[in-house]
Amino acid sequence: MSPEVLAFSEEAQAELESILQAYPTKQACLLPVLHLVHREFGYISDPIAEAVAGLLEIPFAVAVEVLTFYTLFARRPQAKYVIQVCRGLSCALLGQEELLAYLKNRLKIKEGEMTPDGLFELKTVECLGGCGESPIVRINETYYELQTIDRLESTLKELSKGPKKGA
Amino acid sequence: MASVVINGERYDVADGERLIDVCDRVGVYIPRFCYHPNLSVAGNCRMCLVEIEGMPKLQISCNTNVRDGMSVLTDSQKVKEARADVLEFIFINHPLDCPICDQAGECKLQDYYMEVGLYKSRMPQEFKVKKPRKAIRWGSGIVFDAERCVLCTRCVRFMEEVVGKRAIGVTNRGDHEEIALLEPLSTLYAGNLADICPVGALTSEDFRFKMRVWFLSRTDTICPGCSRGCNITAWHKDKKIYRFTPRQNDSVNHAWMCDIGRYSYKEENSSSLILKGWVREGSGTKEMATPELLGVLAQELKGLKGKAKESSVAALVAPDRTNEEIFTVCAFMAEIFGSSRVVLDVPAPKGPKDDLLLTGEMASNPAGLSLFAFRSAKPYTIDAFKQDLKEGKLEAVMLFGDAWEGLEAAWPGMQEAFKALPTLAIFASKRKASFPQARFVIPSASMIQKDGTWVNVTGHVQRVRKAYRLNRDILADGESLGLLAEFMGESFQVGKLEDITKRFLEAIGGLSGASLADVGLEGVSLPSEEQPKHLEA
Ligand code: SF4
Ligand code: SF4
Ligand code: FES
Ligand code: FES
Repeated sequence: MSPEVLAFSEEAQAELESILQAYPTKQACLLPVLHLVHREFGYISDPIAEAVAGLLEIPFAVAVEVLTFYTLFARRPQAKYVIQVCRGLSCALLGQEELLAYLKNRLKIKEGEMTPDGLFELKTVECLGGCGESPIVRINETYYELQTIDRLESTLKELSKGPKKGA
Repeated sequence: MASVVINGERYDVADGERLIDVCDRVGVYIPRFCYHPNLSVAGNCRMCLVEIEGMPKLQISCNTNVRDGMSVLTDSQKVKEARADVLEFIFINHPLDCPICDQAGECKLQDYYMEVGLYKSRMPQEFKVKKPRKAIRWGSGIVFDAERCVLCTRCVRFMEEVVGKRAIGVTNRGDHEEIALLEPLSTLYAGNLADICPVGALTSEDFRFKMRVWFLSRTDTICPGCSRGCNITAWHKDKKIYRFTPRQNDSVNHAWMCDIGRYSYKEENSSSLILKGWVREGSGTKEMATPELLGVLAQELKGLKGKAKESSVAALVAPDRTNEEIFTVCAFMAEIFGSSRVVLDVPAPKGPKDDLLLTGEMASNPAGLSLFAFRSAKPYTIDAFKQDLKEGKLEAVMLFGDAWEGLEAAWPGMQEAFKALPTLAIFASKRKASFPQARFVIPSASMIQKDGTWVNVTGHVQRVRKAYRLNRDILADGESLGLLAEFMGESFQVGKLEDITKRFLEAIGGLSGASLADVGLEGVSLPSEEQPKHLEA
């Protein structure tokens, strides 16, 4: 385990310190630290998980068990925009399937894949808790409500030219 | 004390004992995947459900402690249905692998399916969650198959609790949950993983596809690897051993054995054994049937009897011989030659030692040998023997056993020292034990070919059992010595094994009155003040 793997920003370092203060044992810090690390690096690969395990003085296996239990932790670098199509009941009734089919076709990728330029990645997720405005597509942390193919298309166009990360 | 009723029968048990253990003891079998008596309770498979009076829901018997007045049903309709349902869930993503699975015949999934399942599958092949990781070599002799796993976590707990290394983990969630090797196993105890895995997810690379288990016969015996004397089962067919597996004995090895011992079965098969004896003549050797060979040896020894005041015949016994053989050799030397020159302090070969099982003494009976040596009034030590050899006082030496590496390590030039002897005979089982200097090599029964007892490192007397005899030239040492005496015109009655064991137990003290039957499957312990002290020396 090389400590360089966990090269934190100053803020993140401060947050780490406060997490370590807040819990009675180091192992108890695992989940909050994984969140922090995921935010910092965008993904948690094996070497990063190993570094976290080293930091918290727990076996690598324990870190990996927790990490892989949650599917929302990415295990490899992600695309700039992670498109998450809700496939919960309300969204499914209101056209999620067409949206998904459209996206696959438009981006020429399957679920779980990334475009070659690293711009977009396509995923399906369970109910996003916004059923009132179904169908919902979430891109990174932003909810796009009441989606139609036209609306999606203009969002994609927008994102394709914009240089800044996040929407 | 508590009194519990199981299926209508009343039993007195210790308060707070685990229900599943109580049932095991009284002979009521409860199906299980995750429970193992030598590991912590996980309670994750739900296969061990039982009905307990007064509780609305079924309870898992592996995580239920008995209390006074408890009434349990292990076989009610409700229990049977629940087991069938649990089993169906466990089978949901299981592949149709039995014909190509090495676990078949000793697989809990198969057993329980026949016992409580027997339904038609409601899960079409194409709906199963596939975990296409098959035949993954984990190293240390273990092969992993992801989709056969029932996620009982026995392997995870074994590594963590017994080996002390969190090498295996459970990754992902739900249907996608999977056992993963996250660090190299690198332990001398990996073989146990294949034993404790209740299904074909972890199998032994060494045993895979060699033999279907139902063709094998079993003999309960003791591992010859080191002085721990782990209780094992030897699995054999047509006079060939296919594997050793550990047998539960909580006063010796719990349910484990090390890989050195486990794979030592190979050295107990015919390719490693002496199948026919020989005598060295000039620069060559001549194979001979054993009786004939003993006849020639008898001629050489005959003249030595009573020639000098102190006999010029000596014997050495290696620390792998049984107590009965040690006893017999001493008796033979005294009766036939009037010799007390029997060396019993031959050191065991050195090997790995750890906190779990391995003792560092790589022979099966150094404790028995030393217990016997300590009790003779004037022990004839290896140093005295060396002295006699140097002064030319000895004309014939007989060696009994296979484990001479320890002696050789402690005595550089040993082979050279034996050179001058007119007669050197070795009674050995293994090819590697044959001394280049020996004039006579007499095949002696190996551990799987004889009965007897060994004493383990903590003073536990245990039984080795005979499964078969490879051929008629291989004799137990007692038989050989009887013949030898006869050819010398003497009589030497070996007596029955039971009698020798009895006399041996008497001779080493502390266990007088005990018999071979008392030693039984589990062995008997010497009282603490009689235990072997040689390790501390
Ligand atoms: S590999 Fe075997 S022992 Fe390990 S969890 Fe799976 S079934 Fe249990
Ligand atoms: S610890 Fe010793 S007796 Fe036990 S299995 Fe290993 S070699 Fe055999
Ligand atoms: S179903 Fe899509 S937000 Fe609830
Ligand atoms: S054996 Fe009791 S739950 Fe698995």
